[in-house]
Amino acid sequence: MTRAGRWGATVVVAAVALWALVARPWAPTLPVLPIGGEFALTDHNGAPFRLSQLQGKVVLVFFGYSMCPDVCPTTLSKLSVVARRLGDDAAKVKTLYVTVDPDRDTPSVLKADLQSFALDAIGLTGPRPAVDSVVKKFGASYSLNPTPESVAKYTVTHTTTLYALDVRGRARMTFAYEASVEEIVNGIRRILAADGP
Amino acid sequence: MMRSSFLSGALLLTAAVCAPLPAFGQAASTTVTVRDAWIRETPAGRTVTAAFMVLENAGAAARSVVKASAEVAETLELHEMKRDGASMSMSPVKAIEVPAKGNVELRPGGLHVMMFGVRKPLAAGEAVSLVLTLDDGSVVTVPARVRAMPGMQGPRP
Repeated sequence: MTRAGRWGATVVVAAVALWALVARPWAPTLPVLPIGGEFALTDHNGAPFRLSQLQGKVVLVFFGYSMCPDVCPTTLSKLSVVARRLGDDAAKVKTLYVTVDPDRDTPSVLKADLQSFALDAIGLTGPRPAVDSVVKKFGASYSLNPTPESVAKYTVTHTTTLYALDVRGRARMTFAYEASVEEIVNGIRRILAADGP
Repeated sequence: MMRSSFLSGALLLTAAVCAPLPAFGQAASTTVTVRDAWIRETPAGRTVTAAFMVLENAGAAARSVVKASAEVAETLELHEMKRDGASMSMSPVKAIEVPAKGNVELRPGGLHVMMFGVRKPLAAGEAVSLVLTLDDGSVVTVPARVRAMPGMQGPRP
């Protein structure tokens, strides 16, 4: 091999190494999902809230209601464990608990709900049309079921998907209700890595 | 002072009158026993929670729980969570069957006893008594323990 040839080979190898380092082709790409987007609701302190306030944080969004005995506390509990597992990275993550029962879930009810969990979360409520528009944006759904035989009067059937948004508010991953703490922690780390610091 | 001692006297009397009632109910002896009963801790300001347990039936005939009550809450109801695709729904059920020579588990995500109008926050570790009425009229008193979920930090004032 000539001297120039060796030089050329070195340059090619260096270029490939640099490209690999920057583009990381081995890391599976994280698509931007065609759901979500900016929305406005009222937070658990009664203050106006916009998703764009959370620019710079990975945001976890789920829909629920406080009279729900199971799914909602279970999700809050699981996300508290996720936060603990994330360690220092937990400061880069915010959870949004959007009620689908705004008639009962006033800001103070949501606040009480969240207070008992060691989790950096915001409870969100608002006029039903505003809640409905957020539900629609995420492709979630819910329905009210009258239960005259119960003091609850009605219960709410709702989707239990957890949505993970990147630091620019774009939906990047969804998790089923059964997703483990491990899966959610790994997902958050991937989203953080995809966006860099 | 007078008033408070009168009140506590009245409470004692009430307790004395009420206490033997479940025992009377149990006279119609039942084949159903309950173990591992627990209630999810309620945060301050929240008055709804749920109770879970394992019901066992040693008898040759199936039995059903048709009613539940507790002094700590206004209303107890039998409910079931059901999963349908990505959705979860909760609905009241009329009865919870305990199969003959079998058991039924009340657990998060499935059958449970809803507690509405909880009179004061229930803190982890507390002992709470529940009363279940079966379809044959017998009554089972269930000692339950209040439990926190992982990530819960207890009721805060």
